[in-house]
Amino acid sequence: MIEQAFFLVLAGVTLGAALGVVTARSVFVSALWLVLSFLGIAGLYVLLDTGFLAVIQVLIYVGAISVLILFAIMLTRNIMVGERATNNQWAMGLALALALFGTLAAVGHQADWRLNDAAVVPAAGGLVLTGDSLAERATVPGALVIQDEAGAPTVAASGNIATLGRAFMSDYLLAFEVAAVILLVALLGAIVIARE
Amino acid sequence: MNPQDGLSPPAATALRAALDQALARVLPEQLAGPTADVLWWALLGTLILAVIQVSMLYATWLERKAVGRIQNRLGANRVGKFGLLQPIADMVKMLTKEDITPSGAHRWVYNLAPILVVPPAILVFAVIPVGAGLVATDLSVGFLFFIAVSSTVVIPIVMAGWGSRNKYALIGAMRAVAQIVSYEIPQVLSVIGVLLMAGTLSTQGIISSQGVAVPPYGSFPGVWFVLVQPVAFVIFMLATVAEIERSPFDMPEAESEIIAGYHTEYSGIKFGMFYLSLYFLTIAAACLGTILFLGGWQAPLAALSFIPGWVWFSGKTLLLVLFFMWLRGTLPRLRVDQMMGFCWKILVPLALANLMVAGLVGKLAKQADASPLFTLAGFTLANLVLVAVAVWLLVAWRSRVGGPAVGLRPPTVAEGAA
Repeated sequence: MIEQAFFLVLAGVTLGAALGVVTARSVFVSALWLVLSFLGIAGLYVLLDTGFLAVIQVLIYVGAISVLILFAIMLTRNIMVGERATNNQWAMGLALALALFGTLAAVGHQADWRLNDAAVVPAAGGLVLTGDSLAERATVPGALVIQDEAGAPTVAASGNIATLGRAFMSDYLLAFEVAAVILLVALLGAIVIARE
Repeated sequence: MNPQDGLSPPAATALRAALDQALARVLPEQLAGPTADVLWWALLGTLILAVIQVSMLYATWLERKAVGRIQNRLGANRVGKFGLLQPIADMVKMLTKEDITPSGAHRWVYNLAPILVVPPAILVFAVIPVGAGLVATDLSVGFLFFIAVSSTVVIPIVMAGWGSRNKYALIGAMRAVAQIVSYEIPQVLSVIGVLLMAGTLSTQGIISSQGVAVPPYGSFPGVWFVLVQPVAFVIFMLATVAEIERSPFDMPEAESEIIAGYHTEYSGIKFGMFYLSLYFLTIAAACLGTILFLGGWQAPLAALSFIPGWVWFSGKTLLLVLFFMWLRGTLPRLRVDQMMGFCWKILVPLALANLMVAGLVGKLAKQADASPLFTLAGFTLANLVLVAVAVWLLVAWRSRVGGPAVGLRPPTVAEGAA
């Protein structure tokens, strides 16, 4: 019951702030609404018992990306006067946004969202949520229930970070390395552009 | 204070039990539990708020006294004995000053900024343990929580700079963003070496791993991390001083250059909120340094552990706060170009090298199953080598370019000086 209420409030904040992003007249104020939206998503992560993701959401999206967006706006725009927040590419932007929304909605519709059945989310090596141990999970704040090698549910004392790290370094090593290389390329690209 | 963890002080456990009993008598069964929880958390929140606000008030008093002594002055001594009532008088002054909103300001952004700048600075105290079991919530990601929440302080600062419609405020905000975002990198990098050895992100876990191993944590026994990784400690302290915008890294509010930076247009209690937030963050940063490097609430010797943990914790925190004040009273302010150069050209490479050294030595010691004393000796040696190589590189660089390294001297015209 209480979780439901929290979910409704957080979803309302996230969506309301997202609406604020596209309706605000000033780009700067749009960016501030975006921060609130990111915070709402972090709250949803907390509600899902994934404390690590919530903290990373705040650290990366609120503390870094939003701040850089604000910084970029202050550097590039003539910010002391109000400015039109749209340009002549809005039709293309609308089409792209609709396509993205359609894709996400389709994926969300097909995904398996059961949480209270046994062995949901059979993802990376051992990262398995089990319904039986949800009560057990409550004894360790922020911990995720994982299965040990034998398949019995155990509570990871150090939370889900160890499991996540192991998954990154084993099953998802390629994706992890590719992401790192992409970031490195972006970094080098930024330096090249800045030097010109 | 988690009465369920078996570590909380007896008084806290007894108080919680009394609360549970009293509520069970008045309320039906399914309501009593949640109500007790809510009341308990409200009580804890009030306690934390009260303690950090009083600490903040007297940190301002201590700063005036300490910096005064350093500069051969007396410091506040008129209101009350030793000027002890001065912070109260200052508070009254701030509350009664005229509240001004510039006519060109963006009303919402301008007024929201001082309100939003305080909550992150208070929230970080949720994961700071002042004793065994004396922590509001021992998150498994405690350290990351601290870093994430304290990094959001930048947003209200940008809001203040932009909302004021004042060029000095805007310049101050830009400096603050550049500084805080940059120095976060060496700060976190220097701590990763510590986290590698502690094997946990929980603040209680980090403290336990520096002392007598307390289940469920405990890996590297007995030694504070300041002895194991002194270079990391120095990098952490320097980056932290920049993070909390204290002198000599207070370019965002350099009064000789840009009036007062992002809070130029704020008066009365709105200015007071920025002041409050910076002092909260200073105390929080000292607490974090105590947790990560000085063994938290643990006594330095087992023989001294009859003194309660919170006394040790407050003492060590006070020591670090005094260190921040000592820096402020002694060092001149850096220039903006020095600020960025120092971070990216010295602190970040040094922190990366330190991380590699810490990982390598830690791994070797673990493989060889070395005794703690042997491990400590290995780390001391590695840190000495690291410092020697860093100094050698800096000197070689200096002699090649024929002067201080780039970023540590004024830029030449060719490099884009105005």
